[in-house]
Parts: sequence; structure tokens; C-alpha cells
Amino acid sequence: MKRGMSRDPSDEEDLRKVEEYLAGESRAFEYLFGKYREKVYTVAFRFVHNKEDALEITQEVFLRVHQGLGSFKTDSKFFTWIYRITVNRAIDLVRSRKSRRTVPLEGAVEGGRPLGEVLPDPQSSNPSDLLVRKELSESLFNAVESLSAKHRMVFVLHAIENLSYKEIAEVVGCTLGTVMSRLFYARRKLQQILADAGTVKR
Amino acid sequence: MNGKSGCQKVEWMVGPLVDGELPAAETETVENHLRECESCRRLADDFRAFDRLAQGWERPAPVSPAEWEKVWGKVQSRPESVRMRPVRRPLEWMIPALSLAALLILGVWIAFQAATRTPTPVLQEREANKILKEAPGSPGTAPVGQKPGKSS
Repeated sequence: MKRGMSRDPSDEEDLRKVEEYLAGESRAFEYLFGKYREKVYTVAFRFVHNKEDALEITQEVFLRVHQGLGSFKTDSKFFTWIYRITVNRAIDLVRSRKSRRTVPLEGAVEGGRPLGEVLPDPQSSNPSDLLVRKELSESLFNAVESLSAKHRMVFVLHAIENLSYKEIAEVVGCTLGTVMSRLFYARRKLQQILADAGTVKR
Repeated sequence: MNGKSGCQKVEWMVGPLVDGELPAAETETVENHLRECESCRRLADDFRAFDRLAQGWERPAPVSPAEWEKVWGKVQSRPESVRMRPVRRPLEWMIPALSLAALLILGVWIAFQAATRTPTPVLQEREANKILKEAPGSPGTAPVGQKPGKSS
């Protein structure tokens, strides 16, 4: 479920904790760490795909948050701010390791058919359906890996993190129109990559 | 709105439609187009399929409490670099300060009143009546402000 854009009690609690921490209550930061560590780790993992790097990013994110709390604007949302730091750090790491990335597209699924037709019912527990689903999922995963950082970021925030367009715009620091444009391009590119690999029909 | 130019006008709105982000004003237009255009319908199906597949990607490897402790330890061990705002505890110093200020103002006011005090007209009148009453040969009964010989 997408989060609403108005502040909910959770956002208010975050801001209260930031204020408390800045007023000298050291345990308030521990609260923020406890609340967001899993989320930060999960987002980081979606970009770097391994535990060690994701944990390293998590650590760096909280250090940056700690350093930046004094200048954090309390008219923003804490979660948006920490998301932005996480995504930027993860993208930096991915860029620095770009040469290590490989994009094997197996094309194990019978190609030449639209993805919507090939993709089995999500409720199906039929072993062959599960296999097809797994292979398609891996193909898409590899295709997403080959997207540029900015398109990948928007796709991951939308499809995995389930953020609304407006939230993505806040996290990435761009306009709604840019979010739409990048998401459209990312999806079109994924179609093209999968079609070129023979996985699906364009 | 059919044909290639129709698709070009509509296809960028297919994603927002699938995501529930398209304004109501455009939704009907795009839905009508999708009913008649197989290519754009397939685009919408693929976009939905991407999201469904991505949702099923592997969950991140779990992190044990000991690993979280380690991360937290490293975050805590860094030198204090956050710019702390001044602690705002106004009542701690304001209560005695305000009490002292109030006492000073009260003292100054009392001293001022005592130094500049003048008898009120009523008191002046009473004093005068007393003096006149006690004075030899005074009409005695006529208070100040009343003509002698005219009783009330």
C-alpha cells in the first residue's frame, strides 16, 4: 500500500524523535535506527544484491543521518530524507562497481509471446508454473540490472518499494513529470531487453 | 484516437493508468483507447506483469541481532559530529529570574508610593474639620464646605 502524502502519526513521531535527539536525548536516535534499519537495509539490498554491501550502506546511511540531523528540515518527512540518502548511496556503490555487473539473459522461457500471456497466475502452485515464474523473474531481474542508475532507481522505488509517484519525486528530488518519463522509459527498455533476449514478444 | 499517432499520444499514460496515478479526466480516454488498440493493451499487460514479477523477487538475506548490534556499534563509535541545537529548558532559569524581577518591581513601586504620597481630599477635609472643631471660638458644628448656621 502506498503511503499517503499527508503526515501520519508515524511521521510526527519521527520528527519528535529528531527534536528530542537534538535537544540532547541520545536514545531518540536509537529509536530511529531501530525503526528504519530494516527498511534501509532492504532498499540497499535491492540495488546491490548482497548482504555485506547492503549492511555497509545501512551503516553509512545512519552515519550520514546522524551528521545531517542538525540541518534536517522538520517540514520534510524523515522517511523521505532517509530513503533519499539510501538510494543515492546505493546508486553510488552500484556505479563504482559497474564493471563487475553481468547481464546473462537465459531466455529459458518459451519466447515470442507477450509477457502477460507467458506469466502464470500468481496463485498457481503448479510446479511448471512456478518454474516459468522463477525464470521470468530472473530475466526481469537481470534486465533491471542493465538499466541506467536513474531509471533503475525509479523502477525499484515504484515496483518494489511501492512508493507513489509523488513520493518518488521527493526521494529522487525531481518533478512528477520526470518520474513518469523515467518510469515509462524504464519499462519500455525492459520490454525491449526481454524481447531482444527472446524471452517475450515485444 | 486510434492509429500510430493515437498510440503516441496515449502510451505514456498507460503506466500511470496501471499504477492508479492517472487523473480521472484522462482515464476514460486511455481506457477507451486500450479497448480498441491491442498494442497498447499489451503494453499495459507487460507493465502490470513487470510489477508482479518484481514483487516476487527474493527477500533480502536476514540480518541477525548480533549483526545489527555490530552496525549500531559502528554508528555509535564515530565522533560526535551532529550539530546539536541548544537545549531549550526555559523554566529552569526563568522562574527564579522572573521572581526576582517581580520582587524588585514591587519594592521600587512601594518606595515610590511612599515618597510621593499626598493626602486625599477626603482626608484633608476631615483634618480641617477636626482642627476647626478644636479651635477656640469656632462655630463648631459647621463642617468645612458647609455654610455656618445652616444645618443639614
